[in-house]
Amino acid sequence: MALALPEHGFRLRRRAVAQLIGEAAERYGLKVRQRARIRDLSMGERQQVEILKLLLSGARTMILDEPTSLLAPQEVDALATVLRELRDEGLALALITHKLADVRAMCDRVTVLRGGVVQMDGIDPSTLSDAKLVEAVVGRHLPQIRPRPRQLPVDPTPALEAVEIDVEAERGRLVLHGVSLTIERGEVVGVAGVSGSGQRELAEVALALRSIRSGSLQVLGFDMCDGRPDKALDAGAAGVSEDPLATDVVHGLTVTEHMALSRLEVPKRALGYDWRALERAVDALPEAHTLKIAEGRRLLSTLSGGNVQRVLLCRALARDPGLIVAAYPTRGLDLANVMATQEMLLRRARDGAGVLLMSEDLDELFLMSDRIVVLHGGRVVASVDPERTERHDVGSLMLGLAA
Amino acid sequence: MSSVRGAVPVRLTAGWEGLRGHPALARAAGWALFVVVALTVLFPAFDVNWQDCLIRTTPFVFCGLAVAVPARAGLVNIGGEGQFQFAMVVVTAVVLLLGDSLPAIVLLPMLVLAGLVGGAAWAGIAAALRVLVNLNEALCTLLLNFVAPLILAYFVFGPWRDASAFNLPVSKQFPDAARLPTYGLTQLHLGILFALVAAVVVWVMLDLTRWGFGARVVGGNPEAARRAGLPVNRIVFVALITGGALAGVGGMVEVTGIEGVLRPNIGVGFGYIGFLASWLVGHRPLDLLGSAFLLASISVAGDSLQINAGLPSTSVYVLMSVVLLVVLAFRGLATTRGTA
Repeated sequence: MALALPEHGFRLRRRAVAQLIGEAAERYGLKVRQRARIRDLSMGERQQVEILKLLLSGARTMILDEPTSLLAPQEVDALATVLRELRDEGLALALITHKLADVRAMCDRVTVLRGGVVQMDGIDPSTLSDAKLVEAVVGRHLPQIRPRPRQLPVDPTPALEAVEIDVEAERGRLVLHGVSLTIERGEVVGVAGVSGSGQRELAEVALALRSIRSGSLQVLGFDMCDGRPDKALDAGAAGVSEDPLATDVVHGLTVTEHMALSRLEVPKRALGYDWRALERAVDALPEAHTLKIAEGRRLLSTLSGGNVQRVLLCRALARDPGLIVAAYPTRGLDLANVMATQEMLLRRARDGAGVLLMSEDLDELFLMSDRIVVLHGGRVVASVDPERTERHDVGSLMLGLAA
Repeated sequence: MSSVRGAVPVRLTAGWEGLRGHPALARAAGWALFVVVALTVLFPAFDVNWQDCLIRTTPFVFCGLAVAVPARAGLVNIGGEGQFQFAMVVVTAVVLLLGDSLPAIVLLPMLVLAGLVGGAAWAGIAAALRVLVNLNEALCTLLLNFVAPLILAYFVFGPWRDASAFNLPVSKQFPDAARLPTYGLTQLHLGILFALVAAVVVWVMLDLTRWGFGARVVGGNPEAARRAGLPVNRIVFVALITGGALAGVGGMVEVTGIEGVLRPNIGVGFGYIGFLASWLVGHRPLDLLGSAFLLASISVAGDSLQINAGLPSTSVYVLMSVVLLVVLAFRGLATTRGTA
C-alpha cells in the first residue's frame, strides 16, 4: 500500500503523515482514500489528492488548468463544492476552462482571452448571458465569405469515409466516439472544436497513423482500419501535421532530404538517391515558388517554424494527393503565405482532392469549408453549412451548449 | 586510405583554412598525421611493435562497426562483446565439424559466414525483443554479454575439451585450413584486410544507400519515419543484426587468425573498447579505422609499459577512458555553445 502523498522530512513517518492528511482532508471536506494506490483511483479522486497535496504544502493561491476536462458530471459537481469551500477558507483560485458551465458553476469573476488579447476582464458571470460570453470567446466580426461554386464530385469514391469509428488513446480512454464522417472528392470539410476535442486523433486516423477500435474507415477507397501509414500514403493521402517539430522534422537532414519522406517519387542513383535531381524537381514545383521554401541544402531543424511549415506544406502538395489532411496549415505563417496556402488548398479541392481542415481560427474555417463539423469531447455534435450558420452557433456547439 | 594519403600533402600546403570547409578531409588528415607520428616517433620511443598494433586494431574495428551501424538508426548496441564471443563458438563448431575434410579456399568463406550468422543470431535475440515487446536494446545487449562467455565456457570445459591439453580448458588445435593466411613471416593476417573492407562497406551502406538514409531518419526522429511510411521495425531489426554480424566476423578473425584454438578469455573487453572507438568518432565508419588504431596503440603500449615501466595493466583502461571523456566533453561543449 502506497501513501498518496509525498512524505515530509528526513524519515518517512507513515503514521504522522497519515494523521496530517486525515486532518487536512476533513477540514477541507475532501474525501481521500489514504491507503489506495493512485492508479486505482478515478480521475476525480486523483484530482482531490492533488488539491490536498497543494493545500498541505501551504498553498494559498491555486491555478487549475482545465480541471474538469477528464471528470464525470457528478465529479464536476463535487469539485465545484470543494472549490467553493476553499474560497470561503480564504484561498485565491484561478480556473482555466473552456466550458461555460464551469464558469457559471464555480467562478465569481470571468476574464476572456482570445488570441492573447483580453476580451473582457473581471466580470461577474451571472450578469452575462451565454450569448455575450460566446461572442467574447469566438469574436463577432463576420468574415467575407468568398462565394465558391459547389461542384459535383469528380470521382464517386469519397476521399474519406469513416463510419462509427471509436478510437482509443493511451490507457484505453476513448478519444473519438462513434464518429462518422464522409469527405467527397472536391470537398473541404472543416473541423471546429476547442483544443483537445479529438481533432488531433481524427487527423491521425485519416492518415492511418492510429488504428481504430471499432467502426470502418476507408481512404480513397482503401481500407485503413489497421493503422498502416504507408498504406495511406500509397493510397494518395497526404498531411500537414499539428506539431511538425515533434513529428516531422528529422535532426540532421536537409530540406531536400525531407522531401523524400513522403513516398514522393525520388530518382534513384546506384544504391542511393539522386539528391541533385530531387532538388531540381522540388525547385520546379509551383508550390515551391508560391511558398518560397528554403534552400534545399539547409538543415530543416535550423529553420524557423514558419519556414518548416512551408516546406512541409510543399511536400504534402507535391504528390498531388487525393486526400489532404491539413491540421492547422497556416499556423506560424505571415499573412501573405496564409492567403497563398488557403488559395492552394482550395485549388486542390477544385481539382478533385478531398480536404480535411483543422483550424483554431473560425474565420479560416468559415472561409474555406464547404461543411463544418463540430467536435466536442470526441463526438461529432453537429455538421453545418458555413453559409447558413452563424459563427456564434458554432461557438456554442464547440463549448458544449446546444445551438 | 590511398586517396587520403594523396590528399594530405595537397591540403596541408593549402593550409588549415582549406580544410575548414571539408570536415571529412580534415579528420582524415588528422588521423593520417597521427598514424605517421605514431609509427615514426611514438612507437620507437615506447618500444611498441607496429605489427602488434595493426593486429590489435582489427577486432576493435569490427566491434566498433558493430556499434556504428545500429547507432545510425538511433540504437545502442553494447553487446559487441557477447556477439564476438558467441560467434567464436559457432565458428569453432563449424571447424570441428568440417575442418578436416575441406580445403582452406572453401572452409574460410564458410567460417566467415559462420561468424556473421553467430554474431547476427546473438544480436537477433535483442533485436527481436526490441521489435516485438519494445525491450530496451542497450540493456538487452549488455546483459547478453554475460551469457555468451558462459556458453563458450560450457563447450571448452565440456564436449570440446582437448584430452591432450593437460586438463586445460581448450578446444582442439584448428587445422591449417581453418587458419587465416599470414603475410610472409609476420603475424599480420588476412583479417586486417577484412577490417578495412568492412569499414568501407559499412560506410557505403550507411552514407550512400537508400537503406542508410532510412536508418538516419529512424535515428533522427522515429515518429517522422513512421509518418513517412518507412518500415521502422524492419530497419531497427536489420541495423541490430548487421551490427551483431560485424562483431561476429571480428570473433571469427580473432579465433582463426590469432588463436587457432577456442579457449575462455579470448578477446575479453574488445567489445567495450570497440564501443569506445565508435563513440570517439561519432560512429563514422571510416574515422573508426583511426580511433581503433589509437586505442590499439594504447592497449599494446600498455603491455610494454607493464614490462618496462612497471605500470599496472589497468592504467591502460584509465588512459582510454580519459581520452573518451575528454573527447565527449569537448563535443558536448561545442554543441551546447552552438545552440546557445
